[in-house]
Amino acid sequence: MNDPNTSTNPSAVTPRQFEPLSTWLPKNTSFSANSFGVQLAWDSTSMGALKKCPRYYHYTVMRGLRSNHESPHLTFGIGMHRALEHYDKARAAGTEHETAIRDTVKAEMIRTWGWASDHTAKNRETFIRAIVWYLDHFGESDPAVTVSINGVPAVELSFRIKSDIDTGGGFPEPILLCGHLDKIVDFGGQKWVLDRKTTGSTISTQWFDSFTPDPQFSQYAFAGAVGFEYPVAGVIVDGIQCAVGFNRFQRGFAPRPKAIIEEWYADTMYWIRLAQSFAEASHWPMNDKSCSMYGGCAFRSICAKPPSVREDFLQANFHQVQWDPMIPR
Amino acid sequence: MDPSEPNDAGSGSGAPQAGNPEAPTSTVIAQLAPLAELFAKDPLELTDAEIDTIVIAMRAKRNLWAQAEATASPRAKPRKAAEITVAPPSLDLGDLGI
Repeated sequence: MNDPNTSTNPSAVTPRQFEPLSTWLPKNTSFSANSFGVQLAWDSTSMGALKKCPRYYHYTVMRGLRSNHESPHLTFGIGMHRALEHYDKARAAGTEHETAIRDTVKAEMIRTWGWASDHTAKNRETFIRAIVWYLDHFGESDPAVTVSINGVPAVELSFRIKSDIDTGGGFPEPILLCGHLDKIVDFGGQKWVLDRKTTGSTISTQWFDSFTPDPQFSQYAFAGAVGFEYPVAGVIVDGIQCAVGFNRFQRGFAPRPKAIIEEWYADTMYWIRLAQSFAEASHWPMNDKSCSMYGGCAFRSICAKPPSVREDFLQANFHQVQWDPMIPR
Repeated sequence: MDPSEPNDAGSGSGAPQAGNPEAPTSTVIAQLAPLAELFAKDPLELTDAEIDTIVIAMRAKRNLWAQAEATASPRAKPRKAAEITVAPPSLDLGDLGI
């Protein structure tokens, strides 16, 4: 038999031979235990990965592969969410602003100990600076007021919502939509989900426009409306510009009217069925129009190599951090 | 300066506060322990006063930046937030009923 990796005949290449099945099976409770590769609980990260590229989805969501050279952008962004959640939680518990800032900074100084980023705008010191500046800008007298659900402040909300489709077949399993919201706020008499995004660019109306359409924000609005029974008007975006010597902040709005959410929901069900078809075929095709998008895919160098050597390069340059949307924060 | 001792950057009376208009921001920064020292220290050993020092130093940097922004030439100044902030749309969604 020809080596499919050196053959010039495309018909000799069988996709299922590319990667050994034994490397595909990390424990992940968001996947079916009965049907291989079928994801039952979908968050916006999983869905975003699938839409970006099924092969990328296979690597990042199914196998949980992360680059050994973690992006400072990712570390910074995750850290900002974590830090501001810490502050929100403290404030919701009645802690005053100054004490909450100190507690947040202390916690993040500990959590980021050892983070060695050579990025001039996204490193440990600029990270702490961004926290302090953001909380001084929005924290103490924010007009976006956290609402309460049954008397409990609506911060750090995990949700699981049963959809109206299942996997079908002889043993149908329900499909869930799940995820986490930073908080639900009242702003100008309307309820909004509030989310924060960091960027290296100047924040403009075009930057805010990039969140509509956006599957993550649509899912947030859906969750706010269905999971928490609030008629959420959309998502408030707090933009955090990260530069070498400063941070700037802008607040924008990504509205999600009912018709938009309904369309997003219908499309999402379609995508989930498509993902199930990939799983049934045990093949997640490459979307090679996405390789250079989003600043360049982390797996581009892997996909550029012959299939026979990809596993070696994956093992040398990536590690496994399982992404499981079913695990609440 | 012994960082384990209460210092001028603490929250006690007489401390140079970054938000105090009577204390020039550059003076505040000069009186603080070098940030690099605090960032190089094992964070589990940072005292509350040292955490306060970090917060005040960051605020002082913000004041310096804001002052520089205010004195920058109009052409170089970014548009004000009010000019580009998107107003929340007025929506009457009612019950989504999905």
